[in-house]
Amino acid sequence: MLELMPASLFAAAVLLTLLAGFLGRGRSVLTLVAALCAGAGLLSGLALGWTLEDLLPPLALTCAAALAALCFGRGESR
Amino acid sequence: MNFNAPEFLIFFPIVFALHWLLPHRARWLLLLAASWLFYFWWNFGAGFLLVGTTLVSWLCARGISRTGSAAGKRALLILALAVSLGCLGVFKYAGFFASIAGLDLLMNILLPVGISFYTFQTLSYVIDVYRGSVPAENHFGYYALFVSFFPQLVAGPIERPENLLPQLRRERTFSRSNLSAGGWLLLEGYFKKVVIADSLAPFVDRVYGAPEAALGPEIILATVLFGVQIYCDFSGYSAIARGAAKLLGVDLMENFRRPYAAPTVREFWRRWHISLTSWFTDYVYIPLGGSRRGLPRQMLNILIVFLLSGLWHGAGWTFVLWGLIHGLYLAAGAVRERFRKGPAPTGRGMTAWSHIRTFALVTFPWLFFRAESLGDAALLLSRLPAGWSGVGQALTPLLPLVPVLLCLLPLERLPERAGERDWSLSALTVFCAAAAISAAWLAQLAGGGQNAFIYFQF
Repeated sequence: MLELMPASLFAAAVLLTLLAGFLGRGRSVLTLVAALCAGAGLLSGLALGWTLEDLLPPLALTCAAALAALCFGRGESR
Repeated sequence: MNFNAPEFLIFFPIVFALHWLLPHRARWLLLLAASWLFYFWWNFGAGFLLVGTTLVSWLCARGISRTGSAAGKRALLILALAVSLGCLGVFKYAGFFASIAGLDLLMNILLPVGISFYTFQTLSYVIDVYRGSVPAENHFGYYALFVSFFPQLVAGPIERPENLLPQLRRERTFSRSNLSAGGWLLLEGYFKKVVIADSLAPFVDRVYGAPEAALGPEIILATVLFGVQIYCDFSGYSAIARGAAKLLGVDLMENFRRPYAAPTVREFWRRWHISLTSWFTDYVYIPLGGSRRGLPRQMLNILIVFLLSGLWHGAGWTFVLWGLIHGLYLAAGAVRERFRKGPAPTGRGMTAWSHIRTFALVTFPWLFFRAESLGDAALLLSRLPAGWSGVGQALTPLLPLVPVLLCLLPLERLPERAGERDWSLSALTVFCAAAAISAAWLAQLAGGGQNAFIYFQF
């Protein structure tokens, strides 16, 4: 179970980021939780001995979700 | 010094801080010293070549502006062209032309980094002064900075004097919008280079490094991925250059505008390496007559420009062939335009087809561009039918690259002022992108160093 933790955290980060980008409501809270999930995924991955190369695909996927939410989502100007 | 070298992370913040601390009248000196340090870091001898070329072109342009006689102006123009192109010829093409002539050069000539870029920049300045479209710069320091400005010195954009020189002279003020826009450009550039381009490099290098063992599906995929790699590598460099310049209050020209979304090859060239394409258009294609002297002459002009463009990229037959193929595409496009009856067909299906067709047409010549030699390219083409039974097995190791490639689409759509959109999503994007860049960069450093930018060799 423990080995699945980083992957689950990154998956949660991706999902929350997409929700934050495309739902429009409660964006700040959702992005904060997504950032915490991504950070926790990164740290747990490192703690479990993942290499930097292993961490790159989930990080890139989270990044792709964040970029997509920023570019195509409902993020209005400040 | 490379943009992705650890020393640049120390160099740039120091230059940035000093630049905004110093009064305007001292900034040119700081930027020039920083630019020469940036360049001399690679090779001392190459640095002297840069300074020498700068001095000769400055003196010739001053002479052109002060000489009254047309013959004198012309003689000085020819002298400047001969020195600049002579240096380029000796340092970049001597080996190539010697091999064509069947001669063996007794010494290996080191190719100075960025020589093609700064030579073209000095040429555009001298030609523009000769044409009278820009005034000659009297201050050697500002001119030397125009040639050597470190963000764009080694791989462009190839700037024009009318855009860059006035900006270097003008008093620049620090602005938060420049800070934000520059920061986003740096993030975009580093992400494209370190995360995307460098992740694709090992697979592409493996296939092109051993063409005799490559399988058909691998060759096709490696060629497509090389197209993505070189785009991310070079447009990443341009974005870093523009970002670093913007942080110093200078706007460099846009060098890429989503080229792979172009519906025609002609449109692709309006979006790919814009500064080089516009250089060849203004200083070669139009003086040759452009499209004004009939279709056969226009086709010849296109072929000349693209053969020169191929040679500009590298002294080798693979680059010449790459340029020739693009020249033939554009010449065929010119013929089609001339004989087309009625408007071009439209519709969603037609648009999708034109994008796919253009992508395929542009991707095919990358095989020659990336191959080590024409023999390797022929070997790769001959091996295309091999290995189709185990496609899945051959391509499984590439699955980790899918998330990296997924980033490219939104990255291409990143608004110019992304930082002014929703702050929480912007902060999350910066956090994730910075984490991915750091992970990829540290992994490279741990593996024995960073990958140089592909266009440095040109």
